[in-house]
Amino acid sequence: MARMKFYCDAERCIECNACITACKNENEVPWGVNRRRVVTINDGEPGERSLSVACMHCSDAPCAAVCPVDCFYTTDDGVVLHDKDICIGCGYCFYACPFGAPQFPQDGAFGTRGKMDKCTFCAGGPEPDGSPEEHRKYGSNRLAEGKLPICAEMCSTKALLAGDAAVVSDIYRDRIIKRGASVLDWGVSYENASLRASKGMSGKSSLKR
Amino acid sequence: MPVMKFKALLLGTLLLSLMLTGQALFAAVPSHDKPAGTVESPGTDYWRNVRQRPAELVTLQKEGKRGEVRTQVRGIDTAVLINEKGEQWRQYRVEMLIPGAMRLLGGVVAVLVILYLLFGARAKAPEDSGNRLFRFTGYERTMHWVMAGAFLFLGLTGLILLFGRPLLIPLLGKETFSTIATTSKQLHDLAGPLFLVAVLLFMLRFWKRNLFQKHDVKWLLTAGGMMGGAHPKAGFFNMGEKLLFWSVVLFGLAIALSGLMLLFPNFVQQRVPLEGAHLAHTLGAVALLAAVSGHIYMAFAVKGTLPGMTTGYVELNWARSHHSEWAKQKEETGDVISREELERDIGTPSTTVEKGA
Repeated sequence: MARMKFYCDAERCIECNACITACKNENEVPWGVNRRRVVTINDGEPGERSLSVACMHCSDAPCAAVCPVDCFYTTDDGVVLHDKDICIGCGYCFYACPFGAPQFPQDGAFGTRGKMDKCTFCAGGPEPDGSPEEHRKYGSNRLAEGKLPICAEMCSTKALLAGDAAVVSDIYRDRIIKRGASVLDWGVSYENASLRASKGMSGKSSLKR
Repeated sequence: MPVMKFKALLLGTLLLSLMLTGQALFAAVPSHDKPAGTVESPGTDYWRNVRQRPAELVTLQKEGKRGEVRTQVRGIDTAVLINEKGEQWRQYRVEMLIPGAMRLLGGVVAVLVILYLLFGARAKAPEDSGNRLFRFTGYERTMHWVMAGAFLFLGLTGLILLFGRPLLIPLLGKETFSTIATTSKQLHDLAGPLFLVAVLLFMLRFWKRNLFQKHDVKWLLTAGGMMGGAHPKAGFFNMGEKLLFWSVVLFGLAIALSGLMLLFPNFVQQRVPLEGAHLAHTLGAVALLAAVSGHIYMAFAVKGTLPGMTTGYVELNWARSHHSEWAKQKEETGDVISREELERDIGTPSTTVEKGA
């Protein structure tokens, strides 16, 4: 069985924020809710890196551990989803999550939290796949249509990868081998870091020249 | 002899080679303790710093000497990549609070029930002297019961939210429990401010009578007469009541103020202060629930106590043994009312019925 994972390659992310826009459009996310965000570290310095972050669909999710009404479940694909009919909007998942994934629309006076909303890996919710109910509460269910999350599918630099963990890690491993692990070391360029030419790669390798 | 010489030579060579290779090995190991032959990736340190955020890095970032962490997404804590306190908070709630509170409160209630069955149920009030002392005014009794009602209601709804997942979901199922939890949360939010007002008014009314006095030490040392036989001296309130009063003030205010933080997420939004508020709220609530359980036990186990808070009057002999100094003072000023006089003035339920018939 596949185990779905996101991976954001910080060497490739150009902080274009298109993943956020695509997610909002695809899932018709309410105002004030951002299922995904791009965080830039050392902004404006040499060595600046950006990362696109959303729910990481943890194997042992802290949100599920602290939920007082036990509304989280993990699908067969390893996607962590929640049931908005059960959620009481207490905010505990937001306190526990390492990535700041759970989001709360304001519901009523004094900023009272509504039902929690978070990245669903474009896999909808507990309602029947593709039903209007599911779309209204959770947005698109692209996984049921055989597609991957929209944020990763349209990422222009292919920094954001989504899919079966084995495939994602194979792609990333291949990238590491080609460019070397130490690209952050100032002075070691992509050219010098490339140790050997790989099949089908032209123009990137230092050996090729 | 040549054998000995050879052996010495062999030993010398071995030692020398060991020293040399040892030195070579030592030189090969980098300054930080990594196995020989490891090439440190600068990327590793970079991301380790991002994840663990050492204090010096945070300071550098605040002073603007290092690049800042930014995001274009507006919201709560969006520029924080990793919420490092979240895991500590999860451990506190799931591994300490829920099982700990269950054991403590369950244990306290069990011990008190056993004590009541063994001693409290059989305890008798002192012989009726036929005289009464006025103890609590109508305002004081109303304040007490409003605060007590709000506290018990908040305790019940709070415990439903705390223990619902391990105790109620297996019995009721998730859907039913979700309805109960939503109702509990809404009512808990509504009753909370009432409790804050009640605690403040209660504190203003009673703080003076709860200042500690010299004879309170002896009360504490003899555990209110449970050890040592005779009842120790006590004023209007005894040491047990004073300790309960100050824990109500201390924990009650901690619960109410942290509750306000949790109640209005539009004022305080960041996760770390909210996690702290949850910590104070739950620790205070569990401590106060345990203390109040003891208070409720005393009200039922010590006969003659409850009428003070229901009718406002207590029996004179009860006051002499439990609040000796206060009773002495009342008797000196002549504030003693006979039972007949009292019944004529306010009437007890039984006499009212007789009069009506």
